[in-house]
Amino acid sequence: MIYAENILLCIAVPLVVTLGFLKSSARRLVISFLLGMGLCLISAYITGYLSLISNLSSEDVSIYLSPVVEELMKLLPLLFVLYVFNPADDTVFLCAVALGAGFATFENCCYILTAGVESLYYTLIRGLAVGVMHVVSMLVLALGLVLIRRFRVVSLAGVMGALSLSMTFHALYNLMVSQPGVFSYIGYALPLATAGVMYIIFRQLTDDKK
Amino acid sequence: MTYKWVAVICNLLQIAALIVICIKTYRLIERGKKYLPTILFLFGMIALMLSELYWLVHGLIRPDFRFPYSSSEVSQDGGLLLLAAALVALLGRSREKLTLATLGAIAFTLVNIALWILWSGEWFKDIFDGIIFMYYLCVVTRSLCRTGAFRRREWVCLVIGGTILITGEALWTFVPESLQLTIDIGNFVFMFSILLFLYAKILYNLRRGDTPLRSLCLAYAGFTWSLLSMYMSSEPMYFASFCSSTAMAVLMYIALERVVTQE
Repeated sequence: MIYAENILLCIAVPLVVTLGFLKSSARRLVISFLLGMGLCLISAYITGYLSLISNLSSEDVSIYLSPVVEELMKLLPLLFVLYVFNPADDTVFLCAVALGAGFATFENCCYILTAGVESLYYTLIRGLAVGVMHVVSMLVLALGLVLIRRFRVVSLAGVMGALSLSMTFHALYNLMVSQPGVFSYIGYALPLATAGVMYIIFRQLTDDKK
Repeated sequence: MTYKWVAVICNLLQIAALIVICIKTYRLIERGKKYLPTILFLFGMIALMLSELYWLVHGLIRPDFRFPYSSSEVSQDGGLLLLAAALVALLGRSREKLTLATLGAIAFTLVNIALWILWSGEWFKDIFDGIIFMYYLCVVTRSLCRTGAFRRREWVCLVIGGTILITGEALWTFVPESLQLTIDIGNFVFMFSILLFLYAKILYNLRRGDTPLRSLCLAYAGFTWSLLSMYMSSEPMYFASFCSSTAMAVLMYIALERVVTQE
């Protein structure tokens, strides 16, 4: 048993103090990071509740329910930023990446406190796989939302489509790592490989813009 | 070879085909003149590919566990929405609110939803999937009307064929087992006759080459019909419809390529 709220407070307080000394994009980055951590906690509450009412095992919950809840929770602030503040594309990507990183950081902190950090190998896998997975799924979501906004068409279908992509990517990762052996190795490699592909696409898109 | 392994092979073939389509569509973004429909089509195909990949991995890792609405369904629904969005982006929004064809598409989907619920008993999944499928079918039907893909006589034949098929499927559920095989054979004849007719129309239009948008709409219709056939069939006919959906996805890409490079 860990007290997730206390951990969140412990990590968040220095970051909140930092906000007073930051400006523009650095401030947005830290706010999004904090928001990502908060969302991780709220997602855990919701998933816990759903797990209780559905009588599913913790493994089933992590495979079937967590991806849907977590991706939905990460989408909401991004949609809010997009439609209320109407920021530039770069700001959307910045917020998305920081949200994902905050979410992954808090999840990793809680996980490590529960499971221990004796094995460097496992800790590295945890960081490289789950950490990168949340960032990549947020990048996919942000890319979809930016494109939808740029063309101002079919927004609901586009948002749902982009959301479905990030949900399935997340669910596929959770499903693969749940099975020891070859599937888990592929699962651990999946976020990094996708990050590589996303990096190439991202570079090409920004080059086209120049 | 058991049905399980046939399913795995069909899945792998479809995933491979969809990966190739995704790569080629990505390259098409640079070559083509219509950026938005191409990118929506690409996202739609990625969603369908992820759906199949999830289904394959789930079947291998947890073959005995069925979750009513998993990420495979989420992704397929997302894929259909994105493909519909690509078609809307190509054709522009329709000003007509409700046409006879749209009403027909809605009625057809409603009966299908009722049948899905009857067969599977998964209310939430079937209704949610059904609503998205209804939107997709309405977009496809409108596009077929707007591009004049079918003649009046062909529309009449399709409506009659669809009605007989739906009635046959509903009858199958209620008749005694001794009659089910006969009705099944009749249903498959109708189902695959319509599919063959759609293949003929798509290939004819693609070969003529002067109406790429019409070919694309027909390929969308073929893909939709393949999906419906899949939902209505059990093994081994299910695999035929499954392979047909793969072939239709390829035809959709070929038609899209012509639309964005020629028009």
